[in-house]
Amino acid sequence: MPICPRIILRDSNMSSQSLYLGRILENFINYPDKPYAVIISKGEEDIITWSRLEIECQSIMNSLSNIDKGVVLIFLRHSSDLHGAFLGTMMAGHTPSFMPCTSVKQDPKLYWASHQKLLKHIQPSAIITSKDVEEEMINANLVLGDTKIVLIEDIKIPEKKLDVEIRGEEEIALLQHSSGTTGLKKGVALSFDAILKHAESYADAISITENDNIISWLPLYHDMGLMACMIMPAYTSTPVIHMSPFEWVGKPHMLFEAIEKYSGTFTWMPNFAFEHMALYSPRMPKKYDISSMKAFISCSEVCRPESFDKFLNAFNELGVNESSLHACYAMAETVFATAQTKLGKSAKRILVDQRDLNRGQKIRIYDKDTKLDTPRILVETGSVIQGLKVDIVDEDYNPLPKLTIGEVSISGSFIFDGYYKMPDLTNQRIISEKYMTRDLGFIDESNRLYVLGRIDDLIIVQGRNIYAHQVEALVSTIEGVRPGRMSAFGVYDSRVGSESMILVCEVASELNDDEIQIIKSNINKLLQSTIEVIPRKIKFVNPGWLMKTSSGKVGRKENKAKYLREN
Amino acid sequence: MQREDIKEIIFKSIREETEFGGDIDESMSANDIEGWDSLAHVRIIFRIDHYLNTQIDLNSTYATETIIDLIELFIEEIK
Repeated sequence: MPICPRIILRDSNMSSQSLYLGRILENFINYPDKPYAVIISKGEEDIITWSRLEIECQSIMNSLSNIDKGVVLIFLRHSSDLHGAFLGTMMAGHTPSFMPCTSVKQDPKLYWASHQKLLKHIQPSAIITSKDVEEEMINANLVLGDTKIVLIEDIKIPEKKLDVEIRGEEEIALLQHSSGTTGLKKGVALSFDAILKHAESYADAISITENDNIISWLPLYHDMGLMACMIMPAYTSTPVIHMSPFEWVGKPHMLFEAIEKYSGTFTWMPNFAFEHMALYSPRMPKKYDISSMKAFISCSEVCRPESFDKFLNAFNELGVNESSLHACYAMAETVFATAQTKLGKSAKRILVDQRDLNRGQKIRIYDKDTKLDTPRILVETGSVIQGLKVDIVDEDYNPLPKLTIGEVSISGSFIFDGYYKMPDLTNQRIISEKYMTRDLGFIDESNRLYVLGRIDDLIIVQGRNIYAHQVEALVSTIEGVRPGRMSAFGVYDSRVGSESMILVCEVASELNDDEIQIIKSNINKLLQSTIEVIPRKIKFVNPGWLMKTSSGKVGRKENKAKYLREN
Repeated sequence: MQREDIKEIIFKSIREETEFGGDIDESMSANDIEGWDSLAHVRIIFRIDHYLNTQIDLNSTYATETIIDLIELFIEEIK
């Protein structure tokens, strides 16, 4: 029997939490039979109506009612349970955070061992999971301490409706963990105020309404999936059709099938996905009608014009046109979107000289027909959305003029509250109330933002953030590798449309080929099971090959240049 | 098509996708070959499907541990 929610009336003193969750509670009443989401899994479609979502939220609140307030980690595979688990945790006054589960290619013991340090750091009050995942944790001897396990199979609807817990404005609404890396993942702490303001600003920027339909294969533990395809649409009452990333990658036509069936209007995906869809195009089982789409939005990796062109050429006859291909500059630290191209117009492309793309240099924009020795076409990431301000700054954090390359810094009303329990890192990245992104970029005369790449050692592989120093720390534990004597870096792979990771390792010169092969295999197994990304190439070199910086550290930039010269 | 032909197509697809320059042996697994990650796996299967004119269920390929298993899977698919 449906549970009647309590309506929260708005007034000027209402907290952002009341406004955000209040909208969801209103939807329970206003749209009981309207789809909140459709979950596609293994060929089956499961519709979650707003009234069903309410019951699922209440059941989670019931299960968490006797557990101390704190962080609740949600380890659930793609299923209809994800949404109620997350929103119900919020409504119960806890701080939810989605976490990835093991994939079929990962060794569960290695995977969970790599999470032990993270659990100790976060000390979650509870973990919501399923029986099969709990079994993996037990088999891996995961130490949980005081953390309670809530099995999704055991949750029950409360006999009496539970009230939503109203918390202080200073409380964290949710944690968004950086994807890919394990060990001490950075938990981006976001307030209700931030997620509310972001939802309103970004929804306005793309004019999304309850009449739109979002089609998504993105995992919800990734900021793009969580914010663009759950937190924002829950607030704008926009239905989302979710499919599993693992199913989509093998059957990319599922995206178009869902667009056709549900008259999809928005989808977000990283650059590599445009390439993947185009590669798959000859295998499409039919010619889908996808003309309902307003925007395919490229995000989470540097947007490449050649990837847009391949996608356009492959699917132009299905209704894709240049004005439906868009770019967004986003990160968890600003909840999600920072800049967005204007819908209904083609994203602007400019021709520049690759040799000009250095920090501090002023960009020259050439006529598109100009012949250059080292041409590079850049795609804008759009204009900064309302509520945020972007400054391009030099090494001393002084603002730079337009068209000059510097670090992208962001200030405004929906910047994150800091990295969870990491005050030193937070202080390094938030300087004078500006978030220093470590991205290089510039702003043109029309206030369009262009993003070029990273200043630090972050490697973005298929939308996943991998820090080179963390890869090196993991690989240092492999027997046969000289600890600390390696260099990991990213190289753009045009065939995949994403960066690939290259690893150069020093090993003792007396190792034979069989021993080298065993080390390679162990590196791949460890990285697959922990960060789910393996190197495109592992180059073993003799002691002395790796170049050092003036301070004596192994220099990634120098070694990347040396590797590229030799290969 | 003979087993040897299928094996060569699979080896060729692995090399094309991963650019692996070393010797490939049937007993090897994805962990033994640089660049064979989750996305590369799907792209390898797309390539094999293209050469063999098959449309194998991707899920069945995830259960394979070695290249031998993959060869046997495609032999069954072609039957």
